[in-house]
Amino acid sequence: MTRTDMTCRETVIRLLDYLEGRLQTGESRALEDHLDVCPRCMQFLEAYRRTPEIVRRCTDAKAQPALTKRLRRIFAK
Amino acid sequence: MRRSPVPRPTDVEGAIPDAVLIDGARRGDRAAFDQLITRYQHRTYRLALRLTGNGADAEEVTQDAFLQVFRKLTTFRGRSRFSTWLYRVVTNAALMHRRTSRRRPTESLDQYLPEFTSNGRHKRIDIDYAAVARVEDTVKRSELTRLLFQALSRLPPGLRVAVVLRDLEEVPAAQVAAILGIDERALRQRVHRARLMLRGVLGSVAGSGPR
Repeated sequence: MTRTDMTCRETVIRLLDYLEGRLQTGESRALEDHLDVCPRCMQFLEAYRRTPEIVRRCTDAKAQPALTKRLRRIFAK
Repeated sequence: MRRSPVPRPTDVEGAIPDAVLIDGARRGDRAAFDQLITRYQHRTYRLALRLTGNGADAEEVTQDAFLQVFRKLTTFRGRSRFSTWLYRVVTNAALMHRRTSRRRPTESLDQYLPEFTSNGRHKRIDIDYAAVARVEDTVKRSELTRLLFQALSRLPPGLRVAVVLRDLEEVPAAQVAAILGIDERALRQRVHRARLMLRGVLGSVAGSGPR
């Protein structure tokens, strides 16, 4: 794949592998070259990269004391 | 020869290895089992909540999981990490719970996947992809939480489990793959697709349209 060949679709397909450092050097460069000329893909990448941390923060939770009490009673069964 | 009870908790998490606590619990040491609960209750509940989408179901799943773990302690051989085993038990309990539950959202999240033109460019040029980065500033936290739990519930089970364990619980890929019984490449495909959908949901919530 040449440096100017990568499309937006091909970029999006490779995002996870790119962020985890799994792309071959040539593919990684081709993706970065596409990002250099495609601000939409750059924004998409940033949104994709941030998604897990946002969802993680918003869905964080802790067990309530009442549940802890019930769990401890399991031992007595 | 009498074996001494499991040592008291310390301030440093993990100071008493899981294997020691499990051995103690098997021998009837209540303090050991209590320490296992203390160590794992919050992440177990959080995982159950992310998989089921609501607090009541998550509590039932958490209880079921710990009950199973307690009953099967004698069969746990230590070939995998205790946390891997526990996550597998919770995941299976959550999936089983959903199968028997009447609450079953059916609307797909496919509409939130990105679309492209025939020459591979983003189709929707009106969408502001940068809005996702600001979503926690622009949308009320309680509403965002509600919508995200709803979105997680709408993911197909295979994608939901993959993205919850890998992206949200941050369990190492090799462990997640082992829990799901798939190879790491298949896991990455599931995580990628699920993350694209969740990104799309965040974009929609942020007011930038479904794609």
